[in-house]
Amino acid sequence: MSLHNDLLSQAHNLVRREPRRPRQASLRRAVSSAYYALFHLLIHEASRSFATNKALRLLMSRAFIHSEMNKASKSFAGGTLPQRFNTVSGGQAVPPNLRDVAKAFVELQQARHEADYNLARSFSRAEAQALVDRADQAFNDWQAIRNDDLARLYLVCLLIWDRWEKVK
Amino acid sequence: MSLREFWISVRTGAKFLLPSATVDSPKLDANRIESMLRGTFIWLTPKAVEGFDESDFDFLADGERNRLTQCVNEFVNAAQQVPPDQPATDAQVQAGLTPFQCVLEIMRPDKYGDVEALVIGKRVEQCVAGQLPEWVADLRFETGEDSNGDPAVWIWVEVADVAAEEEVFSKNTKQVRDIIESSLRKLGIQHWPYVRFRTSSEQTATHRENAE
Repeated sequence: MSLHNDLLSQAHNLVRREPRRPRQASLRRAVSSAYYALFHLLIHEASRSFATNKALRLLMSRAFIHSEMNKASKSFAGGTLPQRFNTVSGGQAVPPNLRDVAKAFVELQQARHEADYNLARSFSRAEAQALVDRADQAFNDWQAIRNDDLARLYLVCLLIWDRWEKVK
Repeated sequence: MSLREFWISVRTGAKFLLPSATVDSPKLDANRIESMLRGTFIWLTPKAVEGFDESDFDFLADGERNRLTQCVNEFVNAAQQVPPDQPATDAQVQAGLTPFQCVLEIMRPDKYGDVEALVIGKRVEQCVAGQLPEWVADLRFETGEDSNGDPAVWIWVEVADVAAEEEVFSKNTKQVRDIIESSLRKLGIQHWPYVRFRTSSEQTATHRENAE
């Protein structure tokens, strides 16, 4: 099984780990695993899309930056893309499945940050479960849209969004 | 800004009610508010509603805004009767308690974590009125910057336990999330939304732990 699928599976296991009184450690790690599941799915898809050589793919996957992926995802989640992408998108709106993947990425990244660093409040099982479900749904949405031209554009944007921001 | 000043005044007056973070704060229902207000009288001063200006509350529905204005005015009248160098009498406490309780029930500092959250929350609640499923028990709001420094609003949705059962939870959360996100777009609110869920049992357990 791939790393991203293993992480998603781990997230599911952790969120249900203590049936009666879930520990904060389990719930927070479940949220973190859910984010990294989606993160690794997307960089796996991106590097496979750009490189056939396995060694090159592994090298490429180290080049992704979480904050840059966040910015690209917020743009795709908004539904319409900057004008510079019109030659690829034809001006069409981002398809709903792809928007949902991008939204899920943003949501899960923020949740991971809180799970790892915000001790000022607690996580509940329902909250963690909803986030793991979000990752699950994002996997399904990605499967439905992965061959679309805008999905491929999204993968490129995840890698080089900041550089394209500078293009007029 | 008057709204912020009023917000700070009310929260300062009521801060003994709210020891913890917004989402973990016990719910301020009418009984709890009255019970706590009767325990101490530090709130019984015009300073508890300082900064109020009705024109700052155009985001409220007309009826709620009118009620808030009336309650603030009644409270100020009552609080001004208390001499600064003497304890309040029972009659003075009673005269001030009802209108201040009314102010808290509208401002709900347990439900709206900050001024922006109050404005956004009230507008969202008006927009989604009648759309949310009956198993949505409550919404709480908090704003701030997310981990990437962008303005964000966290919306905590309390759902009945039955709505969180495995077979339906994913579908239910998507339904509510779509309604809320649609309302934010319709209202032109630019804050990035983070919609989170808790069950009523989980909220009750958290509040009980925090009260102990």
